[in-house]
Amino acid sequence: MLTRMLIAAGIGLREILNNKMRSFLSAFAISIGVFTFLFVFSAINNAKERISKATELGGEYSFNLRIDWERARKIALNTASFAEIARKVPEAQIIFPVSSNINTDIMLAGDNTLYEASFTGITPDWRKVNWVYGKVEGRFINWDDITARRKVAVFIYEPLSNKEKNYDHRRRGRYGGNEETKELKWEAYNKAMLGRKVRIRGLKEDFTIVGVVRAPLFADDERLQKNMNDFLLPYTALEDTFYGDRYIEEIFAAFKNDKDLQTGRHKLVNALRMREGKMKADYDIKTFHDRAENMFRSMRETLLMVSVLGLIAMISGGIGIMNVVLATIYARTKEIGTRRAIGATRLDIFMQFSFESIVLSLLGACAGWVIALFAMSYIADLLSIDARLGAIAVLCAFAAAAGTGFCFSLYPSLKAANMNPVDALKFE
Amino acid sequence: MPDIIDCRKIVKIYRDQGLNFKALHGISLTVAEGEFIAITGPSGCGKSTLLNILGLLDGPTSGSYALAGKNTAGMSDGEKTALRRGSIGFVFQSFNLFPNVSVLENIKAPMRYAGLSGAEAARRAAELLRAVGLEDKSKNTPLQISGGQKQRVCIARALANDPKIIIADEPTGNLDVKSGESVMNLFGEINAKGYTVIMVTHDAALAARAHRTIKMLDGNIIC
Ligand SMILES: Nc1ncnc2c1ncn2[C@@H]1O[C@H](COP(=O)(O)OP(=O)(O)OP(=O)(O)O)[C@@H](O)[C@H]1O
Ligand SMILES: [Mg+2]
Repeated sequence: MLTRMLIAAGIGLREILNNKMRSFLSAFAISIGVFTFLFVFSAINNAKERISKATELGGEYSFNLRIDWERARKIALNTASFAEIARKVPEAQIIFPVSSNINTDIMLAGDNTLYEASFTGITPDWRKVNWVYGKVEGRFINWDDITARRKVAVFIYEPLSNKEKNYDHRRRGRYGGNEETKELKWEAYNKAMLGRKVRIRGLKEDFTIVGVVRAPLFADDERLQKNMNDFLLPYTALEDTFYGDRYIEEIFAAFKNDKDLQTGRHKLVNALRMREGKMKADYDIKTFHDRAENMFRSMRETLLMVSVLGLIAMISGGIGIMNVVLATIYARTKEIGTRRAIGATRLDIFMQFSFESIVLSLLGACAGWVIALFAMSYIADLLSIDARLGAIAVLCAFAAAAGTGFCFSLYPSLKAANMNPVDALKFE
Repeated sequence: MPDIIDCRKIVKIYRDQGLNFKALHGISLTVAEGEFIAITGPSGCGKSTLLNILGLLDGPTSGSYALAGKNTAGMSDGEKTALRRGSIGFVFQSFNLFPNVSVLENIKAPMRYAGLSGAEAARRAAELLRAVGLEDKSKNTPLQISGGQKQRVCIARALANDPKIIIADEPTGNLDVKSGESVMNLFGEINAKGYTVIMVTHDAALAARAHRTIKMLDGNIIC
């Protein structure tokens, strides 16, 4: 049986080589189909992996509570009053106010260029949640900095992704700023940042950089969030310099388990209601699951579209192959008759043609794989989807291609196998 | 000599879109092992139809056919194919060689279907090529050799599985006189080695070289 299969495969392969252009065309659609298959599979797999990693990291029982700007003013939560609130939620393993990102121009001491930069206020707890950030050069912000409201900063050094490296950073900043500003991240690439003073536009007092941490690339960040900040400042210091009439608008809290989360959430909401003086007030609370769900939802739509396209490509590839095999059979009717006469069984004939189409689709799959190797990251960037090729995806894609080739060749191969040898031999 | 072919009252009716055509009207024929038989007759008298049945490519509508003592009635397609592969070699008027592969590969094909390894098949194919005097053409494709040479290759291929019977339907029909002559000589040699040869021909001179000539007319054997 094995030798018979080898013979059939050999004949099929030779036929493909004898008709290179035709083979290429029919395998082409398959390659597109395989590529999309690989893409979708990898993207889904990747997202799954990241969500389970993120869950593992302990973010599972956490939430972000948001208060809209007007109500935040009414509640008037500042660093001092936040500490009070936090005491009312002892279940929280981590609880801290999330400051909004502030984007503005800065200047580094000893350098007269304006940079665009963004920063946020934190407490030392920030690190517990964001521990994927690399080790600290210098030191991190500590509780002393918070209470003493020190003007210190931690610089987040972010490795550039390929896409960013190709971007013209001199002319357009990340935030679409004016042409004189440069993107700090790019410029700081080769500069020693530790110990430097930062002058923030509109402020008299400089901040001193006491630490540098390395941010993970978005693709490696299991928490499903992208770093937006260049600097981390003590929350209190930011409050002093920037807030004026602004108050805490977001709180992050993490718990040991779901039970703690439920009670903690209840207590926090109650405390805020008390301050707001509205016992029925609701707050926008997004748990980790909401966040993951959200991310998946938008991705699912894109992936669905991509898979439909892939399916169409696969089917048209299959039809193309079917067409080619039908044409081949017609052109080779006499050969089929001759093969039957010299001893080929129906199965031999069937295998010969189904092998030809399976090999064709596998060639298409190889091409799709090669396309994936080179183009996957670019297309993933384009669709803002994170996808990395996995061995299982490749195996599945090859199996799917072979299956498509086989299924679509069934009809023509059976037709060839069931030809009457006498009629086939008479065919001119 | 035992009869290698034993046909009794073979009838063949072609059914074509409601029209029935009786191509063979109850033919009985026995062929002894080692015979060289020529079948002649006017066009459309049923020579090819008979050969196809003898070659197990087609079945009779009624009547019995025993090949080498085995009754072929009720055999499955697979069984018939296996029997055909081992006991019958075909030589075609238009050669029917596979054009994309070498002469050697063409001769190997029946042996490969019979389960011989590639190396074994190649060794025997080379031997057969030498026997038909074409050892220097083994790497050529059928497009690169003459008609007479093609027919020699076809004969070598027919001999590949060392069958008992060689069936040839107008083997010289597409050849000039000289090539036809040499192909006929080859058939003579093969027959001398013990192979049974059944050949259809229109040429009375060629038919005269057979041990026995069977004349057909309108689906009957007339002598
Ligand atoms: N598949 C078929 N369907 C219907 N009629 C057929 C079929 N094959 C052959 N016939 C008819 O059967 C008769 C015998 O045909 P066959 O091919 O055996 O003739 P032949 O003696 O070989 O003729 P030739 O010398 O021209 O090759 C012919 O009249 C032909 O028309
Ligand atoms: Mg004929």
